[in-house]
Amino acid sequence: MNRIAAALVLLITAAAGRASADPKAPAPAAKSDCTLPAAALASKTGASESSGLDLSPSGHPFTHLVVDNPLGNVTVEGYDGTAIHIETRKHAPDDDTLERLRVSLIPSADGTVRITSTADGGREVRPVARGAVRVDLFIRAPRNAHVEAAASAGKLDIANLDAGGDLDTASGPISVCNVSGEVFTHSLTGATRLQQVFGSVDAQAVQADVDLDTITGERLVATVDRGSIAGRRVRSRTVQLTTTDGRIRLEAEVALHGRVSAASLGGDVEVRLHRHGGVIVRAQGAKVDFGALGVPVVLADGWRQIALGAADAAAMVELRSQHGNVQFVIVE
Amino acid sequence: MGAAHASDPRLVAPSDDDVTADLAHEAARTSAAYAATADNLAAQLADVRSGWTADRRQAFDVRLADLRTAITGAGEGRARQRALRAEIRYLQGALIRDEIASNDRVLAAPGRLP
Repeated sequence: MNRIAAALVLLITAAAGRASADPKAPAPAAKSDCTLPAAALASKTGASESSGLDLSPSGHPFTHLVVDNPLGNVTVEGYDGTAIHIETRKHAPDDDTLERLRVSLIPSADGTVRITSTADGGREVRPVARGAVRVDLFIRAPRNAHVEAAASAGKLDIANLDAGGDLDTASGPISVCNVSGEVFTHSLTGATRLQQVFGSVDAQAVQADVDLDTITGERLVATVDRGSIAGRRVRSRTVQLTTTDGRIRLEAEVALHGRVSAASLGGDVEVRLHRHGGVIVRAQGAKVDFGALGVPVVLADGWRQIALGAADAAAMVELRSQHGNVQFVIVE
Repeated sequence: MGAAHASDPRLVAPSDDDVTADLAHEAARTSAAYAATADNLAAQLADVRSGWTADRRQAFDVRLADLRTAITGAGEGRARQRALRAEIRYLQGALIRDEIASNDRVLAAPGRLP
């Protein structure tokens, strides 16, 4: 941490209830239907604290927001402003434990703002299980800030942003809505949902489903070990979906020279394609169904192939499942 | 690498330790879950690998060794988890897409779209 950043470390410790009536909080973005819910009300039992803080840029605009909250939810919503507004909700079984929960805010001179939560330890503290405490962060940030956020079991939601994001959870779900720029998501067991992403996407999950709706970037790559991938209104030029055990269902629009590849070891693969030119489809599976498109050619390597329309600039579609069925449909 | 599979909820669920101690162990717990997934994929690949040509086996072994060196060299936390995710993607590519060599379409580079 440089000296400037160190000097600007702030601890958000405002008194209970302060944030709920913060008149300076920027209005939520109205660009789309992706407005995120406000932070949930605290539980009636135990001790709770809410706080709000506005951070305005001094010199360099805020361009990079880094959030690491292993104790609860992270919600980041973009808006047409320059300041960052942070609303924090803490909950613990008692006041002493509540005092242990810290949220630190570290702005740097290069436009990066880091927000981190933690729980103080020490020999004198009464042990409290992690599940008994909670810190939720609701952040409004300039729309053009790149967001890098990590949570553990909490939810990770970002919306209405224009500079992409990199999101990482262990078991918490990830939700992305109305975001431009490259988006990366990683999760062990948290369901991932991306909708209205106007940029390339790279989504990876181990044991969770990935849901994709309205993806229009250059590339879309999604891999899941145990879980399904579902895609609708996908218009990326290059699409590559992979599951080990789990179904792949894709409804996509393929462009000239586009490439769509969906592969699973044990799951069914079902692709519905809107085309604007020639398409060459190759498929391999326990059972391959091209519907009314005709009888495919069986190639020497066992792939079944069908060509539709002009070969010039034809899009390539490759579908495979070693143990599952493959179905391909053209949607006219 | 761990022997348990990621479906074991103990690998990702918080423990009964005090919250501070639990947070301190979180990175290792998450890495173990990713490692278990990679181990499971590698085990599934063992049979498939035996059917490959010697060249493919060698290319696979070299690439996998590189990925595992990167994992070992990465510090515990996000760097190691990123390296483990790269291994998982590579193993999935080899198992499901028959992508072995680096000039096959690259899946083993999370953070860098192919």
